[in-house]
Amino acid sequence: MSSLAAKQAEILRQDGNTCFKKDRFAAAIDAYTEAITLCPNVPVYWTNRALCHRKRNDWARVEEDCRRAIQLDHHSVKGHYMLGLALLQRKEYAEGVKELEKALDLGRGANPKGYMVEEIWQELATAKYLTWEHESSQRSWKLQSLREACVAALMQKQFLDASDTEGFVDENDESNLDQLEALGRVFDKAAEDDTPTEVPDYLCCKITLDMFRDPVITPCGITYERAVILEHLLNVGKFDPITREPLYASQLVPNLAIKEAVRSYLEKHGWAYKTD
Amino acid sequence: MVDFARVQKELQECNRDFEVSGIRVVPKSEANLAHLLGTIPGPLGTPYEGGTFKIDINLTDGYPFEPPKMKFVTKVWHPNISSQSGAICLDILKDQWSPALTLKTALLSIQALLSAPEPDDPQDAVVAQQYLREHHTFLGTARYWTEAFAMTSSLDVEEKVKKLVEMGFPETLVRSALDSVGGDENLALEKLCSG
Repeated sequence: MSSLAAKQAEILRQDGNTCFKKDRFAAAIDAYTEAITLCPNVPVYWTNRALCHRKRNDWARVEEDCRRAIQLDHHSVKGHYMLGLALLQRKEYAEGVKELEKALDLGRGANPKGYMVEEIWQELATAKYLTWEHESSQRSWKLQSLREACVAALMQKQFLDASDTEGFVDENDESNLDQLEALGRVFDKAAEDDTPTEVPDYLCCKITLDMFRDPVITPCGITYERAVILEHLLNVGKFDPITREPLYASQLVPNLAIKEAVRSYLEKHGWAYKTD
Repeated sequence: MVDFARVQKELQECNRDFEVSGIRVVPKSEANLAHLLGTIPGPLGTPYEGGTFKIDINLTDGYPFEPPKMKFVTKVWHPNISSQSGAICLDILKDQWSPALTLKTALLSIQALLSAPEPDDPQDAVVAQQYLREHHTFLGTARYWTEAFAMTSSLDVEEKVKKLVEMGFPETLVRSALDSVGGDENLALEKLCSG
């Protein structure tokens, strides 16, 4: 690659960025395409063009460009992010979510407080919530028809038993009711995970009051959301917000156990992805 | 930007155990969660017992990384609260704030301040002097102010309802509006007008 071509490609990228800011996406695409022709190995040109395609809802091209960007740079946050969005558009939920999760991990590593991290999280949460909504309505429909079938079967069995043993009618009635109630409880229990309630406090940050996303633990043993505790240390003071012991950013350590606990809770309780 | 998602959660959480704490926080209007009204019951065994104290709450953009601005709306006679402006002298509302505190815990601290005045660090010098030198007079004045300003007898409520109904609002709406703002007539009117 000659340095002259590289320079020219850079100028074209800047032209593209200027057009993009003015919402002139076709012109921006032309500029990035020229840059790509000159220097096809620069991932940013591909992701920038993908972003223009995204603005025009041209998802097939978004996917194409992002895949090229990722080939060139496995750590491209934007590449994984927009590929994820494109896959979600194609209703490839599992694959799309996987890409968004990868983008989130990479984004956090680069800049835990960056706007990209929040944006990616929102998209991921929405996708997960929609997936849950879809699956849980199917689950509850199946459960409901199974419940009706079981109740009918139980009542039929009780009826047959009663015609066999005439005489102790009252006693039978009572145990029959008990059985029906117990059956109802079994089905209520089975539906519990899909019923939105409160997320347990131990999975929530004491500052955001929201579920942990990127938890870090202080030397005092208290866990906070990383972006928020960093903001506290910067703006309020160098102390642990709960214990008021001195605290420095360098002392924060990721709390992998809580992160795993949140992950497994969310896997079971998809409704908790709901963002307001 | 105020973290409104957090404020929303705080309000739910606080009003859920109202039965236990007696502490309530409501937005002054549905549209703006940065202006709130808190109410705390006067602590038992103090001259403030039986009173309900209203506190004006303003959230600045930095909340929860900056303390909420709180001041008494209800007039109160207390060494650490201005008898004129309602300003409160409490460390956690100033340099001792921590984002792990909430509106509810801040109001609980104010309630504790009512139980345990700190006359050596006064907000109102006149009250503090009286507290230290003529403690009996202080107790009497504090009690009198509680009875005069912090106790809305049921008669008062009925009068307010009557007045608002005469303005043309349906009675059930009037009652729920008054209830939701802790009995403040002007706030209730604002609420009724806005929606």
